[in-house]
Amino acid sequence: MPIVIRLDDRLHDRRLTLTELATRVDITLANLSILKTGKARAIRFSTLEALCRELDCQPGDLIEFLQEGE
Amino acid sequence: MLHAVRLIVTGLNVLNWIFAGVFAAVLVLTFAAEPRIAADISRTFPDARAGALLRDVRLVMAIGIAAFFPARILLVRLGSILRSVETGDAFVAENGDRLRQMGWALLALQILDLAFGWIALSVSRTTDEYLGWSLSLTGWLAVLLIFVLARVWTEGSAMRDDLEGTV
Repeated sequence: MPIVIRLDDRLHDRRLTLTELATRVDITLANLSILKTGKARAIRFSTLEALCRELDCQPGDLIEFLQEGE
Repeated sequence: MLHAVRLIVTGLNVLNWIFAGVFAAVLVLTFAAEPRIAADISRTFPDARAGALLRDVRLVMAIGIAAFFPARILLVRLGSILRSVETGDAFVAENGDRLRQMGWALLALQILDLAFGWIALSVSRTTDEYLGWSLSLTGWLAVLLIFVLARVWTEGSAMRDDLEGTV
């Protein structure tokens, strides 16, 4: 998929586990795993807002667009 | 309640087979015992042409047999929809397809009903007996409703599929 979610670096910077992040943003660990592994088809703005708040970053820090062939 | 509805649908399926069998048996009988039946008709309706009435009886039986097939489609698809409701996953594209098939089956039944009505009117004219047929606007409305419902179901399940994988 051309859209890549980069959560690992931000989690490491904030010293958070995926489970802790899931609790803080109020989505299930299963859904957060789906997001992290690139299997999500869409993300709600509310989820994106919560992630940026908890990871203290901008949406562009989490979401990257890869051109075909990259 | 779902269980009760499923029992009713199963019962209707059985009745459908029984009626089809009865219609087929009567149709065969009109050929096997034609002279006797024609004589009975002539006695009962001396002013009517026995041959024409016998033909009408056969046509009604043929309509009854033909109705078995769309009725079966209607009941089998309804049973499948009920099973999907029981498994908790009713809002799927397959149910939209099933509803569409049920719509076509219902349309076929309505057309067969029109054919029966035409014969009933013909028999009534011949025998001065009222066979009790009347045009069912409710049935035609049901055809329209079921096609609309099928479309709603298809669009709804597509929207649901879109949402799957949304975090």
